[in-house]
Amino acid sequence: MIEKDDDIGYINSISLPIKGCAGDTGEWRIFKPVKDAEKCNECLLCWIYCPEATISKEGVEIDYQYCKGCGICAVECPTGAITMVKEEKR
Amino acid sequence: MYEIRVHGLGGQGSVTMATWIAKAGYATGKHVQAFPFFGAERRGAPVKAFARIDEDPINLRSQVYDPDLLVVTSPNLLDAALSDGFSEHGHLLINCGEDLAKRLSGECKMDIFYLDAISIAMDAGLEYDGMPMVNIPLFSAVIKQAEIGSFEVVMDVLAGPSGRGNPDDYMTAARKGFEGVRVAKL
Amino acid sequence: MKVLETGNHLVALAVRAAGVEVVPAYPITPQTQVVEKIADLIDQGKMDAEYIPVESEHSACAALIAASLTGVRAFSATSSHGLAYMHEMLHFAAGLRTPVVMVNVNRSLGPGWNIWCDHQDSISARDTGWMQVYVSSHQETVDTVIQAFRIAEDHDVMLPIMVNLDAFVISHTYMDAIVPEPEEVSEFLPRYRPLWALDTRLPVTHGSVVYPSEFSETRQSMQQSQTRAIGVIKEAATRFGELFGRHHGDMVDYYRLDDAEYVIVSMGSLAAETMISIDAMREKGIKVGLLRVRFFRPFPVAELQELCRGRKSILVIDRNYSYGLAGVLYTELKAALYGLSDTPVRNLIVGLGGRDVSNELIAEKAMESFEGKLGEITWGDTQITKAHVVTRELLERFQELYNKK
Repeated sequence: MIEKDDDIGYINSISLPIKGCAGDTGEWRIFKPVKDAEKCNECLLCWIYCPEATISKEGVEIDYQYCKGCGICAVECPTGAITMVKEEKR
Repeated sequence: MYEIRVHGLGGQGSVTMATWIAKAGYATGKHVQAFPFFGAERRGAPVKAFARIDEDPINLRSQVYDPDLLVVTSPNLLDAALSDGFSEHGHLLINCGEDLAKRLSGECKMDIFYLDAISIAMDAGLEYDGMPMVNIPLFSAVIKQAEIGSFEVVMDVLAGPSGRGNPDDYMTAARKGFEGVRVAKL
Repeated sequence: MKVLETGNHLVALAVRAAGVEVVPAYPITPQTQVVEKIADLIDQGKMDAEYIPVESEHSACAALIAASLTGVRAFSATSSHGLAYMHEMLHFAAGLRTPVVMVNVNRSLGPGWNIWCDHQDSISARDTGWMQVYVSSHQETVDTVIQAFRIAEDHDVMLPIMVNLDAFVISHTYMDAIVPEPEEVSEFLPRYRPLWALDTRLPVTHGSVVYPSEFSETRQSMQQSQTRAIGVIKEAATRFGELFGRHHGDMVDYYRLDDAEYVIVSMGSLAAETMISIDAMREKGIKVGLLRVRFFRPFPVAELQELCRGRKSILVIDRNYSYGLAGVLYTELKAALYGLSDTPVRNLIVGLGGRDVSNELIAEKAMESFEGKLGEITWGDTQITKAHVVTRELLERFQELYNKK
């Protein structure tokens, strides 16, 4: 069915599970989670709860390109290691 | 006809603000229309809302592409807002501080009104689930700059059923928005 | 009473004004506000009705039918996949001759997942025996819901009506409209008088087996009722106009059509937007008018034959598609005009899945069509780019995967 060399073929609602397929959700932030490494005990609750999977399991690093600033990590953190600070944009 | 397009983030109350604008126009005896365009319906996701006010019944059903007033509730939405269409005869109302507004007035082809609505909302204690309710001061600023009505109209609209927060705090934030909106000049 | 409300809330207020007694419904975007508001009105004691929260749209329609068969005025609302899910019961509602009214908020059918406006949902329910009306404004939404009960419950009709209003463009848009009070409506719409109702004093079974020897007769009777409904629809529109001073057309509505050489035909909210296009084209000296199909079932064959006569060119805008053929309003209009004239009739497909349709686009495409520059069927707002397409590279990756086995 796909005869041509170019990519014109079926148009479908397929989306591939790739990083950032919902766009740069970091653009949505009004408040930004900031981790205090001193207080973090690497329990990984934030890693479990983050709805955008922007927190790494190794080293508990926040990927600010995709963190949308929802603040769930700060609420769930049992040691108070994550605080939400006002985002400075542009 | 006066047309407004609002660009906001889900949870900031942009859709509600568009309906408030319509209510204000309606209170002054005009025909009005207000509608949203919902995207992913996720908290924080970009949202658009539209309002029209006219002396005559409104037959337009399409979105607003050359607004008399373009409202942007967060500076990083500005590029997307402009790419959706603007009128050089129209105005931009943006939620930001003076420094950024002045810089933008050099780059942007429209006259700019600005208001630091986040600070106003937070000072008034108007926050909902971690989102400052910027729609209250911005709504107030729209009513003033678009000359839709007086501050009494703002009070009447906001005195209706609200649900979130203390009505006195609403009024404080609305008053600051009405009086605090400025024209950006280089 | 003049109010500023969403189209959905106006539906709820009209349902209250119409004195509806039972509302079985299941919420679905973008219809949810309708049933939320009705539930609120009942909860606040402002509406005397029974609200039945059901577990699916199939059950919603089943309960709607059952309620109506007991002799009460019943209403429901749905949209898109909800309408598709109750499809079986739609046939039952019409076949059992229950004069129920249901609002369908027009939304596309997935996939791709999409909550926005087009007419695919109700067009796909075209052949269920329901009457279908499409509204173009908030005021017409209110007035049509009220008129619908009078039409459906007329003893010459006794068929269900689907009132179709466009998702978001009407459903979620706030506009000012007048909503009559129940007392004001009662003269236009007296209490429902059933022809037959479930009653233990005279027990009957509905929907029993009908053998091939009688089945066609039941269906022919439905068609006869659809035909009789045309007169009832016109009478209802006229009477409503006399009592309330508002008239939105009957089988059809039109705008600047009298001396028009060219005609744009459409349904729903697009027709309101088209009025702006017509004004703009008229200013350039083009004699063009709008013909809005209000009732799609029964189909306004005689009205279309009359109003399309002697025109130079006709463009039908469809917000739906019958795959393998064309837009549905287009094919049906052509069927209605068959053999009557040589006027070219063309089809414009726009606004699927809620794509915004501006009056500028309508005017531009209409001009191209009238000048003969467009083919028979034009997809007016599509732009296929590589970003839309399943890529050759992806297909090759799948092939590689299969070859490994």
